[in-house]
Amino acid sequence: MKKFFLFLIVIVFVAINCKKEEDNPSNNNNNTAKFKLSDFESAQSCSTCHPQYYDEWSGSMHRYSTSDPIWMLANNSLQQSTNGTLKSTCFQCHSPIGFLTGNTPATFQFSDLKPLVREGINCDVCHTLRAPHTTTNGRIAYNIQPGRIKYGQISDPIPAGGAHESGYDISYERSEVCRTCHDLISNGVPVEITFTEWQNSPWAAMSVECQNCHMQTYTGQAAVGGPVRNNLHRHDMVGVDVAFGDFPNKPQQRAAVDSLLKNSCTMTVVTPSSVNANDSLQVLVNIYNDKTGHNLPTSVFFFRQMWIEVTASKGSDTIFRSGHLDANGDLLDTNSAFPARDRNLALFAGTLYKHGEFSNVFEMDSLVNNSIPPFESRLAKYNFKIPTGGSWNVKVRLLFRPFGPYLLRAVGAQQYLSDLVIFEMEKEERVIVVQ
Amino acid sequence: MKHFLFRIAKDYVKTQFISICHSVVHQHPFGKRQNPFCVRGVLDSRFRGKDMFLKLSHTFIFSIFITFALFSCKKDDEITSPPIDYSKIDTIQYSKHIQPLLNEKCATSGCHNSASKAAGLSLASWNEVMGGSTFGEAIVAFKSSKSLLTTLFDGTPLRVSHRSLGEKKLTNAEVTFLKRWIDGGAKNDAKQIPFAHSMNKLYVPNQGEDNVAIIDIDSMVVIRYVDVGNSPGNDAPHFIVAKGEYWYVSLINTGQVWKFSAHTDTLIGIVHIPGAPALLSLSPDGGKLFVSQFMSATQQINKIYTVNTSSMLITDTITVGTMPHGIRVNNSGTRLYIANMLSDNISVVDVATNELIENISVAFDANPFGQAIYQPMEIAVSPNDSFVVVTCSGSAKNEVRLFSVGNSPALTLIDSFPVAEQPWHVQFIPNNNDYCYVTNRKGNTLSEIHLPMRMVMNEITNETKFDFPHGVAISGDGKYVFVSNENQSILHNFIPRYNNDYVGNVCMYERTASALQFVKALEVGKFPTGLSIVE
Repeated sequence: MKKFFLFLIVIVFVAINCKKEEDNPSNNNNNTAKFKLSDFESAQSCSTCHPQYYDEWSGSMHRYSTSDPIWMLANNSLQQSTNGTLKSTCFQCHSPIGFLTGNTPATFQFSDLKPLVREGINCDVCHTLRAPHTTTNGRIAYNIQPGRIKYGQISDPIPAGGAHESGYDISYERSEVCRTCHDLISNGVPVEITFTEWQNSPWAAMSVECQNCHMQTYTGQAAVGGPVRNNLHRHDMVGVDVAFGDFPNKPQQRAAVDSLLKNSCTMTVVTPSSVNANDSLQVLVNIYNDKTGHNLPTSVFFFRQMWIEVTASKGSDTIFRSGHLDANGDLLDTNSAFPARDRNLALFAGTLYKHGEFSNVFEMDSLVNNSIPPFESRLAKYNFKIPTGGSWNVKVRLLFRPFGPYLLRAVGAQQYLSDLVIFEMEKEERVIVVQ
Repeated sequence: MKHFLFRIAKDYVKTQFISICHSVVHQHPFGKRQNPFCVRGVLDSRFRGKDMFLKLSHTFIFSIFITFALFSCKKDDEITSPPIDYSKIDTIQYSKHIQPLLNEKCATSGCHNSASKAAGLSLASWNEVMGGSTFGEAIVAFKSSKSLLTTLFDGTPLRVSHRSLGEKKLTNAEVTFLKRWIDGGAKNDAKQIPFAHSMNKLYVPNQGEDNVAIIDIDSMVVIRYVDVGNSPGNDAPHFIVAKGEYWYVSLINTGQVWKFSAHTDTLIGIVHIPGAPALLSLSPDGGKLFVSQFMSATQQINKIYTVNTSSMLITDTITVGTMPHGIRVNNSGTRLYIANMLSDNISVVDVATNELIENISVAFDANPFGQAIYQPMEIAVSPNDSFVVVTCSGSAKNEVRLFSVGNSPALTLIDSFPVAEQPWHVQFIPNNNDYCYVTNRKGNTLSEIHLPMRMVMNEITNETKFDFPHGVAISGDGKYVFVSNENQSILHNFIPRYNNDYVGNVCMYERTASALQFVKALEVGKFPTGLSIVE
């Protein structure tokens, strides 16, 4: 009897285990999975065979994402103001490896970060991503598969001699590969939605992708000794942000940003050729977003500053101006430390709110966005009188900077103020004869 | 494990029976002549006793446990029959190899047999397999990577779980075998390839994955995927035009238009177009193909091209407005109309001479800075050639403008219809001058416009299927309207059955006396755009 029951227990145990073997779930590779740092490779290991790409990436904002002192200071500041509820939100995009491996200190100095985390968005992050590339609503859903296979847009890759295998993924040639970090919803409000801005535009229907402008095509070798191909993409990923402090390829980056901005829209200025003294003079300035595949400006539009500067002068005599800066280098808006306000200021930016008060991107519940969508325009009107006769010069410029000096001061990054440059996107001058 | 369990169980039951029967034999008056495995013997009332009852109870309970344990292990088929080595089957015969497999694993009661037809799909015969389900095809001949029958089992994540799979799940070897059959043409015993002689076909370019989905309109399933493009990257097939024997597809990123046979769907010729070819239109005799162009990120375009479809060579270049997009030859083949998106006008071209007749503005409240605010996107001509409609996709407008055709001026604006956001493609019903249909890309609707009444009769919505509706096509008999949906918006309104990637769809509507009735939404590839019908 005892033997029988013993045997029964063994059988039941074995049967249950047999069932469990079958039901063992496969490895779930989504954002809830935790990776180890050792799952990822350093960009340094890629540089031997891909020196061109490595050099381009080294001077890119993807590399800079965890070397950005403004970001570090802003993160630390926000962690304190949100009592830590910010958690690893910033790291999600600034260091996907840090986020995926749990190496995300709340507040930090750069020296606190692991070397691999400090590489920012390195080769292994982008080239192990797989579809679907989805919009991020609060928490990022990376579909990432670190491992031997590195994916890209070369449809006939040469098998690497032991370094890694290469896989073709058509999404690397399309905007969707950028979507995960460049299409962000916060608290249910679409905020940094560069991808969606593009998707909503005719540019998407035309298959003019992010890579067309931000990773331009060239002919060369993807790897040392590899075949010459005519469909390689630059990995400098030029946008409108620039590096502060010491950073590789800094002059080239600023030149590339300048070139991109100069070819992003069309400014049209309409003035009369002559007016009578003391008559009202109207200057019309139209900004038409006819060359950019997303809003102008995009991404953190609430920090961006794109504005029209108008100056009417004769010699040293200036009769009208708008879009000029205060002694701190700020525009004369609510961020200026001075009481004067520029009532004619045409600033294409935006503001985030929470319960009607100014807020940040993590706590906001609404926004105002004055950026210009693709194939749309904004018209600014300036009316003023010129009291004395002669030939007056009206100079109109469209200017841009990634963010204003007030922001640097707010996060304690004053030492970088001298590195903050203003890009001239458009410029036009008219002579008006005042009778 | 199962074999081990089975052997233990068998040995134990045997031992118990022998033990019982031995007890019986020892007590039986006829001694050892009694069959030791005779159960009837142990039921003899003369030999009932407490010990025997306990032994019988133990055996019965144990047998239940053993049975339970064995059935808990899924792969019981190994016990009953050895697995088939599919790799050793050289010539696949449908009735001998495929149907038995489907019968065993899929075409069962409650699932996909003829009576149950779960999800509308029966896998009980070759014809039924090819008929697909309520939601679309089960297999696409020559394309196992697009065939749900195998992608269900090859690790592709399902959006909607296949709840009834249970222990009937196909093994890797079986999936590989089915893929072989599908990629070989999914033939039946008579070596027939499904839909080899389809007469009514809808062609859908998948801009995001370099292929064209072909839909059989009568069966409303995807019957083929034709790969297009020859560049190492995304060639981006954008628009298809078809007439009679041939169909043509524009490849944006390759700067080419490919010509295919509509009978065999094989490539016949290629013409290289400067820049990025966009929309296409054929002369009524099919001899001339007119090609508009997209602009690049850095260069504005104002040229269209005429292609001789026999030689597949460009014969003329015509200067029109800025960014010519919508392009349509009238039905008598005398005029060509081009919607110029960034100059807010329509170019009218004499088809016989390829000369520009006139540029007609669509804007009477023109922007003082000369920039496009109407942004005419697509254009269509009524079957009697008397009217032209233009979709004005500018965000400040969102309307369809109606022009009457004349000599001087060539077009006269007579009305406009406000529609949902971003009106995109437009199509008249063949042989019907009263109705046209407009997809509203950002508005996620389809507008039905009635010309005689000069009004938008219906603004059709479909919350779970429409996501950036792009192209529109109408069957020759005017009975069906087809709408392609990109499904790339921030919402992803359409949730595909599988693939875990946001493929688009083609929605089929039936025109009735009172309304458009939704019939079916078919998953196609990524980013389906300008579709066309061959009948």
